Amino acid sequence: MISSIVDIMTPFLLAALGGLVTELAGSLVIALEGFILVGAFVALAVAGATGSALAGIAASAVFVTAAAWAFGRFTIGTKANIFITGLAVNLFAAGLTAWASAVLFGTKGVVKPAGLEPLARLSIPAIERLPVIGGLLSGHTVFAYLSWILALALAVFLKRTRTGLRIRASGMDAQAATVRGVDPDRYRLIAISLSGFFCALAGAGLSLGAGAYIPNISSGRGWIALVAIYLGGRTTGGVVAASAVFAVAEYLSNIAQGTVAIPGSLLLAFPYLVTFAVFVGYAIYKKGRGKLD
Amino acid sequence: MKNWFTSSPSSRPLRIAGRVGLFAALALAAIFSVSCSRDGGSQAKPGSIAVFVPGVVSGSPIYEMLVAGTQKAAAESKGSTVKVLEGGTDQAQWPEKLTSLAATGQYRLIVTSNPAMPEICAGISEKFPAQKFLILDGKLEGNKNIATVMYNQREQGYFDGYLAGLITKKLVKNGKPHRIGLVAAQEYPVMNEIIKPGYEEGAKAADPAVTVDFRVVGNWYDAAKATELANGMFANGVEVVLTIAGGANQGVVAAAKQKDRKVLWFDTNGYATEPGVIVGSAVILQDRAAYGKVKSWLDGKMEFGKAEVVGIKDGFVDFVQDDPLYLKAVPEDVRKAQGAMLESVRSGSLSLPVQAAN
Amino acid sequence: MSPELPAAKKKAAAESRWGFPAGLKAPAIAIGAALAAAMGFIVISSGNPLDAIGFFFSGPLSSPYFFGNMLNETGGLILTGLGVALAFRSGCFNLGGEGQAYAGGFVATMILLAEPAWPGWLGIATACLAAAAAGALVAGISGYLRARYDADELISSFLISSALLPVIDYLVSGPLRDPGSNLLATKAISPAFRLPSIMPPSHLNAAFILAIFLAVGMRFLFSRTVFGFELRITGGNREFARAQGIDPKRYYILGMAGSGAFHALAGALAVIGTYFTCHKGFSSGLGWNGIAVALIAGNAPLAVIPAALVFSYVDAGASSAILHTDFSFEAGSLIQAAVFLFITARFTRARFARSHFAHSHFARVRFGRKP
Repeated sequence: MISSIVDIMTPFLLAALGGLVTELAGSLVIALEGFILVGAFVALAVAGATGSALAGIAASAVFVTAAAWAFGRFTIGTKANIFITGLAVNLFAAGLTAWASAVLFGTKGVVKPAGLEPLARLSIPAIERLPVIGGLLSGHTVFAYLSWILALALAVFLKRTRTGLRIRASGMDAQAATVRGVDPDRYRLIAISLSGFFCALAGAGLSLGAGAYIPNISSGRGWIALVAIYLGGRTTGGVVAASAVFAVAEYLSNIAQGTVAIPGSLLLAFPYLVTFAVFVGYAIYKKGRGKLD
Repeated sequence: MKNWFTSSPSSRPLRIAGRVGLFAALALAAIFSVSCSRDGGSQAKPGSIAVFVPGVVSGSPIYEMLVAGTQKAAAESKGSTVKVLEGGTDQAQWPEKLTSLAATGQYRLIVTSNPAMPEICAGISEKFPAQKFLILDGKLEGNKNIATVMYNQREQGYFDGYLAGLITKKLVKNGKPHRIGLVAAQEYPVMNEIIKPGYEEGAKAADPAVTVDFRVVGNWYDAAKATELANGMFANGVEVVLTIAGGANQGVVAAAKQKDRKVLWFDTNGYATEPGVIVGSAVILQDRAAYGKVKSWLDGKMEFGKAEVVGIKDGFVDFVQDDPLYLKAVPEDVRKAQGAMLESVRSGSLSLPVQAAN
Repeated sequence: MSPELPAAKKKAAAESRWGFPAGLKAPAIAIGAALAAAMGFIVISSGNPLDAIGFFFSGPLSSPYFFGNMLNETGGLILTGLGVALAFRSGCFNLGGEGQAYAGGFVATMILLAEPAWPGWLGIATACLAAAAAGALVAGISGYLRARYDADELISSFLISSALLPVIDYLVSGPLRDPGSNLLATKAISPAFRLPSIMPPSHLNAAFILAIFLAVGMRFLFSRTVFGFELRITGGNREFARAQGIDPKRYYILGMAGSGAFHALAGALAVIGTYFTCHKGFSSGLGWNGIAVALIAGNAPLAVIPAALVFSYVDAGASSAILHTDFSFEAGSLIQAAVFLFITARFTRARFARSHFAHSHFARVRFGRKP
């Protein structure tokens, strides 16, 4: 159970962490969905060609980070509306992966390189059998562990490093940041590039986990990740918790499909309803605590 | 996130921009409509065929076969041409796109494939009475411009189910519940009223104790969700899963591979997708049907107004038994039982008629 | 509206105000760049680029059928664009347009199927009002949660919408599906409830005129009424609004509810004007594209009309190129992407210079106020 929840949570968490950095920098990127898709494609293509998942992950991270940087450079440089250019990236991602897929693999459909296994799951024999902790720590692909390490690293980066603080300053009060000699655009560009990095990993986890690239494999995860940023109150810890909430809801809906006498198609709404309930409940709780606007 | 909207460019320049854009577009359009107005006069050439794909071709074997079969027939006939138009997955848009295609007047025959297409084509046929339609995977009788060919998908589901029943009976022991899985991308009439019941019926014929665990992905591409759904089934003791979820099938395969379970394929031969994991493929030979039908049209032999239903006996639905990977993956006694059941349908001693799902 | 300035001063004044030269130059360059990029894509991706470009531009105007269908799409986008703009102007972000439009179409269909014997005008009016009420309710919840509990309306509207989509999908393709059809759709509504057609055989119908009227009406609401004024003040600066004795909460709820009503109306009108039944997923894209349209239009009601037109022109042009040439389906979305990428870009001289606060787009985003 816990193991499944962690699996579901990983791509949401990675993408949401990437989005969080850009939100804190004051330049929220809605192109997460597109970044995930491109990340998934590049990772699988390179892993298929080299036979090495690691090479795929690395190539995906480099490529999508660079693409995100270019996107940020263009958007900031031309002062374009980042929501609209983000939509453009999402459309480009779908079209360009289809095109690249046709050129490289001769199909715009499923790409499944021969001999590429679905990514191995690391089981830790000593811990595996323990309740809760076993599911939490054992039996996942490398991406689950990576997402936790990166969440922790990101929290430290944002709170303790100069660059991290400047990223947040750019988002909090760009004018004050400028007065203090911090160029907000520069730090926003860093943040946007970072979001590409995180989404590349989210995408690589999806395609390497299935051992195949499927058009649209991101399946809206980039959008839910955006929700997780706000549901998590724009903090790293909150984003982890929010991703977990959605993953639990999704897990329950998957399980209910085989056990409850509610039509499966109807249960697809369940994760959103649960997340909504948690979201409202948390808002009421916060209000009750007197944290007024 | 709130900053997207306060940021927007001021309305005034944009309003002007809109005007400029419109004028530019109109001016360009005027120029181009003069230079490109030749389509109006041309008449449909004999042998000109359009394939309307209600979806996208890539990644959808049914539509790939539709296009391939039509193109093959056209290639064998001198002067015959094939235009492929993809209508996208939004069903509400199909009538408009198909109307545009018919309105060009450039195609003598429009070939398409989907259970919903007969009624859409019938509507369009009223406006374009000269347009002929060939619809596969659908059924409509008595429209003089439309010929349809429907596949017996009850048989198709039945034989994947029968194999699932045989394997489950063999593998599940010690009084544990006999469950088989069916992962569908979505629920739709043919799924709910023909394929799923056929699958269940076939499984029960092999193992009366079997129940079906049916789960829905919600789309045709979320492989990770399909993995989770399959894992949920495996946790409930399911040994064999039939997956009909397009690209998301890959998620079921990955899960089965890691948990050492078996997967059944639908519509195409899937053994090579994951040798040893895919243990059965109930196929539709849509390429063959498209080829044969288009060829008979090109030869002037097609009868419009007719609705055919074709199945295993006619050679358009089959269960692939001769693939070496099937021979390797499935024990001999199971293969024998499966083969005997297929033979009884071929010989006519077992009949599994199908009604059009509505 | 800013007062007219002498031409000489205009540029400088506008420069300080908007950060780019006012008038035609910058947006013209942006649109030109967008179209050039679109054509670039056609040249790369088509074996016969001249034909493809020709059909891209001329297709939507080549016959009343294509022209009417393009305008029909424009009408729907005007409505959702107005809906998004209304929320934006009140300081809210309605990210639930997809679900609201779907719900509107669904509610309208249900009412018309339940009362097939009603006179046409009564059925249409009731269906539209009920749909608008349903949309207002759905989006109003998000506005209320924002006003009462400070719960982000962007998230709640997105979540409610995302939950609504599968529920309506299920109802339309399950229990409420027309059992006599293989379409995933409800029964067709009675012909008496169809909106009058404007340009047959195209789908263009009276809904388009209503959309134009509503755009003008919203312009009037914003510029000539106390309600519109207060709504804009709230959206522009909450603290300032409070200082003026305006209760921002009221406008969050009304802004969101109004936004939901517009989206739902778009869905309802698509049913009674275009499809005459509630197809599964018929409204897909209406909400998202409405956001794009509103942002391109800078949330000005009248600017929504050309923005929606540019949008649907690109869409119809791509469809035409796909229909007549070897142009592929996904290349159509690449054209749209190219347009999105450039449509709000500003190619000023300082384009890649390191910018500081005065030039920073994001800073202006955060602190800038609408006039």
